[in-house]
Amino acid sequence: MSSAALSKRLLDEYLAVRDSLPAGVVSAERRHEAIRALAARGLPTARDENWRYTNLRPLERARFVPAVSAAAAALPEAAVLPAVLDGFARYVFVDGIFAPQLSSPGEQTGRGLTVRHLRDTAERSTAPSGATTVRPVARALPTAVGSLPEARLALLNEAFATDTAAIHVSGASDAWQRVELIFIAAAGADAGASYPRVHLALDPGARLALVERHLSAAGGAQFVNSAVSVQVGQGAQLNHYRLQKAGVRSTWLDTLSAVLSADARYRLLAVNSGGLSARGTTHVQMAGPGAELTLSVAALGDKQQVQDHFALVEHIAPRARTEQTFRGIASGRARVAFNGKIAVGEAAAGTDSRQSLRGLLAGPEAEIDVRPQLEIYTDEVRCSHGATAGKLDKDMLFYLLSRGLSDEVAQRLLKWAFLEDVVSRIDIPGLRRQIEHDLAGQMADAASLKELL
Amino acid sequence: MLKIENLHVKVDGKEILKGLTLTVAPGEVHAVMGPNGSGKSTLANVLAGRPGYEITAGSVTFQGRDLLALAPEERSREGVFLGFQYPVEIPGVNNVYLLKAAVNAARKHRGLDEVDAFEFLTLVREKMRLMRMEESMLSRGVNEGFSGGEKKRNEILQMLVLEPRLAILDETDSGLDIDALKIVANGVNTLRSPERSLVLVTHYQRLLDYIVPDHVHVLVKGRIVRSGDKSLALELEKRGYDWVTGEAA
Amino acid sequence: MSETAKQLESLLARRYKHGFVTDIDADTVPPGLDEDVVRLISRKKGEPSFLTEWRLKALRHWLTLSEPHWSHTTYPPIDYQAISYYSAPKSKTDGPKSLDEVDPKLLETYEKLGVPLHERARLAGVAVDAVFDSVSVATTFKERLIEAGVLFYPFSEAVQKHPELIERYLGSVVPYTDNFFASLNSAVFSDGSFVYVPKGVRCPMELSTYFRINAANTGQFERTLIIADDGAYVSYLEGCTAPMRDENQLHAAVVELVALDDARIKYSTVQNWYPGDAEGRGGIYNFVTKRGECRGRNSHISWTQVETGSAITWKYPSCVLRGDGSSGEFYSVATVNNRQQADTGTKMIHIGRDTHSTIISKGISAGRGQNTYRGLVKILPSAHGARNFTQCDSLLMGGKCGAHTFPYVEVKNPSATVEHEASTSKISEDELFYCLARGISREDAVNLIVSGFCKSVFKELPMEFAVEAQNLLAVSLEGAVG
Repeated sequence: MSSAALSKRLLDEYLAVRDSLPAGVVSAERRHEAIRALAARGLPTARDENWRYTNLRPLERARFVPAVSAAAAALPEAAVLPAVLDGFARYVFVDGIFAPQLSSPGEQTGRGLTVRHLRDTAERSTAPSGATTVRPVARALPTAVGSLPEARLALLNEAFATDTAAIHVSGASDAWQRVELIFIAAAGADAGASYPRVHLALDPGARLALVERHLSAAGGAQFVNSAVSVQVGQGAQLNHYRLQKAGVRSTWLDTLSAVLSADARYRLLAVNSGGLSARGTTHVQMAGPGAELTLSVAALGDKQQVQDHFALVEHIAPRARTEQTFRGIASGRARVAFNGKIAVGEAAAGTDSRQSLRGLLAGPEAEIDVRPQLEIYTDEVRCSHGATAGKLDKDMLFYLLSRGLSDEVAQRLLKWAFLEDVVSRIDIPGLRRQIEHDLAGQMADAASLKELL
Repeated sequence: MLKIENLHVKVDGKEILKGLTLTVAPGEVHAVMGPNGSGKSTLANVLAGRPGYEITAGSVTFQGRDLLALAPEERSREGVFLGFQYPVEIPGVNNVYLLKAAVNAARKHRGLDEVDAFEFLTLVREKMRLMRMEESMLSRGVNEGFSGGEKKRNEILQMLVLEPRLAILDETDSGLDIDALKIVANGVNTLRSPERSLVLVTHYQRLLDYIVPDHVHVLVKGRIVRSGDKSLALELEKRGYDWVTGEAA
Repeated sequence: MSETAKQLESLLARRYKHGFVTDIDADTVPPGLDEDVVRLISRKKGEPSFLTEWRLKALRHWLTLSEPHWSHTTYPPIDYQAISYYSAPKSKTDGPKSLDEVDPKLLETYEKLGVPLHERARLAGVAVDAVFDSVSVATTFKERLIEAGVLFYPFSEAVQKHPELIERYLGSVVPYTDNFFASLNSAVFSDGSFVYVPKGVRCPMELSTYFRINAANTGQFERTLIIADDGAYVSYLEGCTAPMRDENQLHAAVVELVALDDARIKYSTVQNWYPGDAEGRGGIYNFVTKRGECRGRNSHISWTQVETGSAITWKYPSCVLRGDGSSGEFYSVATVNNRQQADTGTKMIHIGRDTHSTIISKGISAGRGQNTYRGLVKILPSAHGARNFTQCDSLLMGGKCGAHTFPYVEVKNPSATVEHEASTSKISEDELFYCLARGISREDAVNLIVSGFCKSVFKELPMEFAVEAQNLLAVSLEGAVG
């Protein structure tokens, strides 16, 4: 389909449902503005430099209208939900709409933590999300806030959003708030799309550990387009774990935009293993001096999967630090790609950034694409990156063989160790165990790895 | 135990071993000494089956079997152990897991059940005390962040736990201070027995003060040019390798 | 702002040493481009009809293209109809038979450039082909080359003498459809160099071309084609200068290399086109397509470039590693100062089995210069056992310049190994201080450190070029480094 025809269809679908979209989530004006901007710019295509590794064909076929009606009727069995993590309040959304019967909020509110879902509120949204609405920041980089073409799918979410998980942590405290969000895509893509939407705001000095999971009801082929906006206040700390395990026939598209204030610390860790076509876009602005970002992504692709991740970190303020780690394994005929760009503006003296991007090819027709990019406009910096793509380290392999391990076990073990560079950074023991079990399961033979777990 | 006959080996098209012959009987300790580039490490790696070495002539039999026909893991399970000169770091795979997997692979090969977890840990702890290793090293990644000396001790620990029939230690003394050298030597000596053989590959005589060999061989340009008892090592120490390389030329 | 930074700021001025104009009669066609101009160029050169047709196809294709803007550069729109596409010194009409017949003024020009043709030919044993504006004016050392069987001609002469080689190889590496600037070049290229080294021949000397743009409002569109037949070896050097002018001048060259079985080609460039003044006025737009194809088994192509000049540089000398066991190398030093912009790097396309490539790139940014490394390493499914190593370092001098690194790694064969490393930092205060403490002046200290930073590239250059490159580097960073 031509991009003009696609934009037209997008508009038509929007016009058909706009009156039924909840104004408490996103106001009609903002929805209108979002759809207008998106249609004008067009949906991304493979000709766009930072979309070239994404499988965008599902976008052409997608039904953009929210799968609202299906959601309430087809609630999945509670059994698909992972075990509750100790101390975490759980909020579950099905097809982008809050599902109270599956949630267990605990006693979180009243201690500085507010978690709301905005669907039923009549007020104007206080939870801006998406590329157009991230708070503008004084900066000296060529990309202007709000015009980032890589973040444009957040506009799609903004236009069609059905609900929002809005989390606000107020007050400086040494105590960590703990929240788990679970987004389940239930309706098939033919019934419409699922629009998970999150707004996080941490006041100065606040601390939050957030686990965000994206799952699918068994067997379905869903279309998910999520948008997350994050503001981390001065000196606040956010540990954010994002686990994408969408169904094997699903399309999962995601945009996260974050702004870090002075001395804020943001640890963002993503494990992407689901979806037939998955694309994550992460845009972080280091807006305050001394901010610190640790971005770690593990991706696993098998069969025909396409796992693509684009991460842009903009250093606007001085003395901020970024550490970016990517570990991806492509098996079968999968493509696993990571495109990580660090941009350092004129005022960002003292920037320190490191990128380590590594891809492992584990299938005869698999593909790994890695792009560590640096764009630097000042000299007081220390930036480095390393990227590799290839097979398992032959010295490590020989070492294990020389200790009597079979070739197969040795290979599996090394793949495991490869992903552990990311997974071992999860500091919630229960969560780490769950993820390791999942990964071991996906790596075909959990039994041989069980003692590692 | 081990019989190497007229072994010729090429690396990247260049002949490194040029007709090496060596016989090691059960219970014997052999030291293979030689200057840099003489082919010592090549010998050790070929015996363990490292890829990238082309054997152009000769044979190696181990307990009557053709060793060169076996895959590296099969050699290990048959009881051949290589102590690496430069042990690789494998973050993400912890030491105790590797030890256990290795022990169980060898046991399965011999038709035995998996080792009992409790007994295994007791055994490992005992050997670690012998090697003066902190127990916390068990839960760290294989050799991850270990100093040079710690890596070498970890190699010997693996050897003690695996109890091989033939151990080849490649420059195990290099990079060790005198205290660590004694610990390593002590570890190796506890394994000496009439059924076990040991090949020490080394540049310096120093190690042989602590692990006394039955035979000493001098390897120059891919051939053994001189063999003798431990006094040969002392003489080498005194006169330097020029003494034998001069003769070889 | 540190003391060093202040000194950097205060000393931004620098001189361009090759900025003189030679006053000679030139035969220049009026500005503008259409089929008639292309036919005229072809007719002036008495080309066979296949070449005229090829040029016309290129022009027609070019007209369907629009100028690419994905590079990390900014410049005002170029009016392609305002450029004159052919300029030749007039005395060339009859063609000099030997060096003695070459216009003495031209020879003087080359003296000023540091290319004394006679001297260089005799003493250095380098055969020099000098391209002045668009036309090749003299080729030294012909006899010895003929003896060895090496064909080294100005391109236009090669078209007359060996049309079959031109027809067979021209456009076989860079087709006329390749990209906007390559298409333009294919339509209007005026001259350049041609080298054919026959089977088993090791070219007895370094071959060299000096390019110079002299006339105002002309573009230079030279075309170089080098073929190394089975087992042959050739080392080729290319140097470039242009006079100072306030307008920008376009240089859109194409270089094609073909290496057959076991052949080796080493191509070195020292690019010192006029970079424009401190405010960014004038200077050459250096939009060049360079590509080599390792067509034969175990063939080898090595690119080495030192890019100190031009207002804008846009070039990616690349290797298509088609033959099994073939290998490619790219060694690059690129400096930008004042308002210069460089977007340069390489592409290594691995097709054959056991193909290897190495990329070493050193970028130095000063003043308000913007320096971008852009490189693609692509391993196709057929490239079993392919290997690449890339190292890409940037040095920043002063807080107003930019250094950007955009590598692409695309791997489709599981037996391949690709490694990329990069670092960006400012010139080390510790190293500077160490030198100062040993009594070395700040300027010498900076040169010393920069030379050290570039050493791994300079050592790939032939000796006399390495010395020249080092001097050029010092000149081009003059003022940027207090």
